[in-house]
Amino acid sequence: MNTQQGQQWQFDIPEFFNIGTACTSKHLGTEKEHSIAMIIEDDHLGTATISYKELADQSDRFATFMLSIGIKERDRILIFLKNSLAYPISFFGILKAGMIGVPTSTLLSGSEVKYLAMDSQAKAIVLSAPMYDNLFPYFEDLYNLKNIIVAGIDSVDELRKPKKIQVYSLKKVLEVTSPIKNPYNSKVGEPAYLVYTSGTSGFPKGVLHSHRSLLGRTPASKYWFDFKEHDLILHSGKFNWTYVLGSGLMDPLYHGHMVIAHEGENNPDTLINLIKKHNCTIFIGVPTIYRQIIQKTKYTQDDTPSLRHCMSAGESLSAEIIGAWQERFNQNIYEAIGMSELSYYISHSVYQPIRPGSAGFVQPGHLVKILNPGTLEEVGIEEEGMICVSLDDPGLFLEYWHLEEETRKAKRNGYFFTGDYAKKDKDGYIWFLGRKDDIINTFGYRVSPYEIERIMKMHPKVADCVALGLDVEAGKTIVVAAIIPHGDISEGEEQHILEYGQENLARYKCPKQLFIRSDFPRAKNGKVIRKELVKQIMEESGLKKVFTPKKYRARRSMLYVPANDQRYIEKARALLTDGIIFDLEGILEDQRQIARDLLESEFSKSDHFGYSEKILRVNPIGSKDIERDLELAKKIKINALLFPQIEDAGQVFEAKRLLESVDADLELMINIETPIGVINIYPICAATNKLSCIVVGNDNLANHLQVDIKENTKGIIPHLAQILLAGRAFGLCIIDGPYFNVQDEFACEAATRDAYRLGFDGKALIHPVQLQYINTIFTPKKEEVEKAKKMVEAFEAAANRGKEVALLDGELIDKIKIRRAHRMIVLYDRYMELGQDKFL
Amino acid sequence: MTVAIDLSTISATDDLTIVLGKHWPGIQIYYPPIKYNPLDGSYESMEQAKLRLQKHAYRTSAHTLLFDLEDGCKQKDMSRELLLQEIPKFPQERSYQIAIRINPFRTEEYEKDLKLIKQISEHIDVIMLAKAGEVYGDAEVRDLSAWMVAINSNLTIQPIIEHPKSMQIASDIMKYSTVCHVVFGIHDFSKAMAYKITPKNWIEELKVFFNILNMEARINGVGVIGGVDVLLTPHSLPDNCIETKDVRRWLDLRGDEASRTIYAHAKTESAMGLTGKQVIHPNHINICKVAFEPSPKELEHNVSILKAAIEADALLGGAISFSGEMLDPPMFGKALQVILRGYALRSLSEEHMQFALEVLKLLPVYTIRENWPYGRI
Repeated sequence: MNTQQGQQWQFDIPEFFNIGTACTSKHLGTEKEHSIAMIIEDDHLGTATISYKELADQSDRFATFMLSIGIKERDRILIFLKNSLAYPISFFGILKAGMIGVPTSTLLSGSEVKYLAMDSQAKAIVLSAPMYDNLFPYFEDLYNLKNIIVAGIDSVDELRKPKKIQVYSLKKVLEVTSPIKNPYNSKVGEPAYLVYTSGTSGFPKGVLHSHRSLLGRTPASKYWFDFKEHDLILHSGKFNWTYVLGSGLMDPLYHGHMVIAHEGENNPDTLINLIKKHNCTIFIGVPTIYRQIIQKTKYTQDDTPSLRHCMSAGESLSAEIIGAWQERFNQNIYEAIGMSELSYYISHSVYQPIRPGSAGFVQPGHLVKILNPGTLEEVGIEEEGMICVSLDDPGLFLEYWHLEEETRKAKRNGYFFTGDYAKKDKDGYIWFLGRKDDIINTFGYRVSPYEIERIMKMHPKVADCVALGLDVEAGKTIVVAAIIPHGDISEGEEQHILEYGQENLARYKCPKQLFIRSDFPRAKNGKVIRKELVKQIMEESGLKKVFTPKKYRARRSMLYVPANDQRYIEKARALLTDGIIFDLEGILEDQRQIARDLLESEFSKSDHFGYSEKILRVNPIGSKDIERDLELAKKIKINALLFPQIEDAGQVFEAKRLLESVDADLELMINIETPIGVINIYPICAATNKLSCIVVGNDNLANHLQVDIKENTKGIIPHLAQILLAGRAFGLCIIDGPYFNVQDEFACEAATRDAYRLGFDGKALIHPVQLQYINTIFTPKKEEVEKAKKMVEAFEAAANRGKEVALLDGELIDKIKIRRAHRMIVLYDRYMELGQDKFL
Repeated sequence: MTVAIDLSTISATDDLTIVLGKHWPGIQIYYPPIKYNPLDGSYESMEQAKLRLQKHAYRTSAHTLLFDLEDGCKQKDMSRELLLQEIPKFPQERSYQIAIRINPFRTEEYEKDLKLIKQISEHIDVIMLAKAGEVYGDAEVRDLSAWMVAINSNLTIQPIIEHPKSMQIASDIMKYSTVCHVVFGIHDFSKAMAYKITPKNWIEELKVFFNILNMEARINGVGVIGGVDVLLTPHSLPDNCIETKDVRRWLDLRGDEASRTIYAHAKTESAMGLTGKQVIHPNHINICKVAFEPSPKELEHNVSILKAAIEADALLGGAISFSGEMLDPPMFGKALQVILRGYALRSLSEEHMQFALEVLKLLPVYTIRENWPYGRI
């Protein structure tokens, strides 16, 4: 394939190479030794600076420390840091110790971080102090985690400590540890870092890179960066994104340049001011940032006289922005495309004129071909094919972490099959057509959405555009465009945009319909999730019959907390239980008023109990305490009321009336814990659609029945099944009762398994020690969710062909199965989302 | 050959192989030097193979890294070239053994394999001889042993018993001092016997032969390495799951049927006194290791038994009551075996090693030999 015409690049791959050393200590004894390596501009903490000498020393100390706490070579360390000097110190320190760094986005939820920590089996986590409290509830759930290193804090004395996990202050560690004498002398092909990327099925997958990946990036230093001596690089992104980890951290430091990174809200003014303040010569951003600077500010070259080179990646830039940038800043924007598996290997460079819309050229040195994936033959000029990279390319990843089959599928016949489609024009420019799934197949034509978007974005009224294929009927797909307009848009203007498409695109490519949006569904790094957008539009236009699953509430675990004990209430604030039942009934009579006062005072301090649903369990209907309990319920912010000992429909009506006297928006929950309650379960469930949840009182029920359930619940299973049957008939959520012997872990786990198999939605518990097992067993397994997603896809595809059932792996899929699959997917997403807002 | 030794002066820093034998083979991971990709029928290049070696082999968590030049290796010349270039570069301080499975005795490939071993003998620990004794009887081991003495006297042979003929002469094969462990090659063996074994129940189906081999091995102070499970497991047991409780929990919550089966097999093999197990996939390493290595709680428990026995002066005679059980010297011997298993699999702490030596000092040599036949005392 044509690369940068006429240019040659010879990789120099030594036998031993360590990225940590190469980016830091290698500069000692050179003129770079005392130069500034990095400046961090933090909106809240101000400016922090580190020289190459200091960075080498600090990362050496960090390496010593990591080895001193028993972490070994190849162990994985999660890096959950904001942009700060702690980032290069810990990242390079980890690599110098021979360990594997796992950069993790700070935008992830606690559950997502937990997923990555479990998948990578991280032994330690380095995190920024503000994240600590939010992540705290997840620490004890992690099998492998033994050490937490907190950056940005002088001492960890004030922090709560998870059991069996050591917590250290990074600052203190660096003060008391001496530098490593012999950094790990890694073979060039040994693993260095593991980055996570969104997998095809929605589960993040790890992409493992070796130390040589940095050497594989060296062509970019000339053919994308165009590095010159004494460059100062400002990157708008966070180090934890592969794009920034490479272009904003490893590449510049390897070549001895200075990096300026920002922490805080990225607004156009801040970035331009930083370029001005530090006389930056290179600016690296994403299209959104360039667009904001052009559209929301009036800055020009006069404001950034030092700037000589601008780069972009992540998504494609519109010609309009490239043109406007050239006009105002007198600079080209050099775009590149890359992927987690292979850095940025196709780019524009100063050696060839920029052709807006094209991805540029394959950088010399990279062994890339565009192949027909069927025949494995190279395609001709202007022909579409898949971008394939030789397995000998040093920049290529090692493997998908613990996904052998997936690695094998992607790496075969001597190539890595990227899954990206592209074509090459007669001058050798690469035109990116999209992922295999993104290409629109309309009336027999295969259309690249990027080509349409590039044209549509040129219309002055279009701020952003995504082109999609909509299946309007069986076998008929039309091209449509979702656009974000500049300001308000009239019907006339919409028509004008469509006409603009017709004038500038071939007939089969021009959008037939326009959908106006204020934003697109996006992944954490800002990329548009096309599949989700198609789904939204299909649903809105009524083109797709969709199940609208209930907004399921996470109720895997419901912890009973005696409301008269302040210690338990405080502890419950940090537990990952889906629900907390503040119990006013199961406590001694003389403690009840104390409990009410305590709850009122605790809620007035804070009504924040993580993401847990707050449920108040009042005393039985007709008891003398219930009035006072309900008075309390009016004063504190709760989500539900739980009425105990319900035995007939009349009591449910009464419970509803009482609940509405407090707040009609509260959820109505009841306990079934007596034989009469079980006998009357059908009318109880049928009494009112206000009823949302039944929590079974296993222990009481067993006592009434004179059945021993110490070892297992077999003796009451028929009655549990009765409750489940009636509850399901009315769409209720059914929760199994708690297991009372907290010492007998084995029996509790067996009881939980039984509840799960019987079909309960969750289980109540009385001690946090039971929590992790219960949460995990009621969380669908990854394989189950993947299968459910496949089922839904197959069913929707069949529905588009006018069929009511689909066949998947020999299994017939009908509506009922799909409803269950939907429920599983929605619940799983819900579990993953829990706590997400805490890190934003 | 036995060696006279004064046990009263022995310490953890001395060469303990005379008393306790060498470390066990433990979990042996089969490593194909040049890998075949069945999806496209291609082999990896030398560079790709080197890269994979750096990625997977250098820091394996298995007890033995077993390079296969026999059945699982088609590109034999290239594989030998790779091993010749790369094995000398393996870390000097490693916590695993390196074994090479060579081709059957006196075949053309066997001679080539020996040439390779001659050049890298100081960097490897074990030669695994495929189809041992099937053609020339135990003379195969005798000849190979004689050849090895001139090359590197520290090398040992692990003959693979994979045919009824070898099984029949297992006792003769085990008599050579170079043989510390034999491998039970269950798949070839069952093929030769025309037995239909199943991935789930092969231990039960071959139990009679396991018992024969095991008994011969015990008589000769040799260990037996268990069979290869072929079930593929999608997940690997996390490194920190070391107690039975952790494993049960993990299998419950995240495990798969194949992992459950393999764990059960490894547990059974460990309970049968086997000194190792061969695995064909990295995901099998942890789940098998945890079945073989005594867990910290298990060690604590057995140390407590021995401490109680010593305190009651019952180590060599008499009985003690311990946690609701009546224990006497055979039980103390078993407790000692658990601790020494930790030594043999390199998972014993210094403190426990020290304690084990203290116990050994209290025992007469014949009792040590009875409990732990792998030394030369």
